[in-house]
Amino acid sequence: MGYNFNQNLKMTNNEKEILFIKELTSNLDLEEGFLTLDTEINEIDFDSLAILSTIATLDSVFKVTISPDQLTKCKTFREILDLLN
Amino acid sequence: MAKIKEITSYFPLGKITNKDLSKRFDKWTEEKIFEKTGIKLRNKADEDETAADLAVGAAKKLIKNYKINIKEIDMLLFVTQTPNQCLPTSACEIHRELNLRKECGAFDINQGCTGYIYGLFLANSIIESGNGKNVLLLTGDTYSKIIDENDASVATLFGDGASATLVSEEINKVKSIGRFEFGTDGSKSKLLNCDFGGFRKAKEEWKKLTMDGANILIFTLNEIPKAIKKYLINSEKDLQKYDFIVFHQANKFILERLYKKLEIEDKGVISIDKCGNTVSSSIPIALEKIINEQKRKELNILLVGFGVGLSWGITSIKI
Repeated sequence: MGYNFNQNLKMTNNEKEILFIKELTSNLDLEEGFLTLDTEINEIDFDSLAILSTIATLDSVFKVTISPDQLTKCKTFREILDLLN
Repeated sequence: MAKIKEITSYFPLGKITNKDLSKRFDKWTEEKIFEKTGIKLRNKADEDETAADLAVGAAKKLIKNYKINIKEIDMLLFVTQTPNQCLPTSACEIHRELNLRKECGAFDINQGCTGYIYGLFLANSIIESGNGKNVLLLTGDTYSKIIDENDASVATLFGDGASATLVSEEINKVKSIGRFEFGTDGSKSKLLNCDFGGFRKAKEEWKKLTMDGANILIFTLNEIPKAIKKYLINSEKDLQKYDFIVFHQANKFILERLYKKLEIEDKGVISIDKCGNTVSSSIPIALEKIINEQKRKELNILLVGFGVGLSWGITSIKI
């Protein structure tokens, strides 16, 4: 079949961090270079739509499903990244 | 063998544009609403216009356009979650409005985003079991009446609409309506909920529609690809064999992610810009558009409903 439901992602932590920042910058409509792992979530407008975008991005890029409860407990983007491990 | 013969959609005249919504919601510009939802326009029923009225409109259009003999209709099915009243079943009132014969059965099906799949399942079962030759399957919803217009998460998405489908017996050895698979996760029933008009809560506690978009997204991304994979294995089919894949038209955001996850961006249909999420009517509205645009004789289409319940349902059709 022409699709793969369980892609194995093999990447180093560094590659993962770069991809994480790149994808979230794009999907949360943030300015290039603004987002780092130490950016605090309340520095951006993390509204319900941003939560949806983050969940969907992490699901499609990293194949990990994060619940909105887990997400809203995070204070920095590093804490979100930690949820992927 | 049962076959979908004709499909027609019907919309009320009232319109809600992104400009109207952007005035109501500070953070939502017209462009942002379109970019996230894929919707430019939602239709809205009048105060005294119900889902059953819209379904009558769709049925009359279908009967007129395709010169259907109403005396030959054996069963009327009406899929709705916004009925005229608790009882009688709205289908009986539609039966009256359409002047259907007394020998025709009529009942409502309380299902939403998966409702069209349930309706097709019943129409197909009635015909395949020899209990009828022509089933008129109507869908209609007026979520505008149960939406809090200050709740951006639902006011930007839902639109009113109806559809009519004629499913008839055909002397043909090839199956035009394939297998059905359904699923339910009742533990998530509150994620899309409206107490209006029910009896669990006292009238003073009735609330309009509430939607937990984030958890519905998680449900959809987790369950729907798995359900499709299981359906394909059980049916010995391959996604690539379908000409189109029509999901319930929830919104562009969720559809794009589902199509990407399934790697079917080329076949996945998004047909929502002029009507919004019309709940039970979204699949037939998309199908009507495909039929009008494609002049090819036969198309194989996978239909996937998912949402309120939470529920899902899958079937495949040839039209």
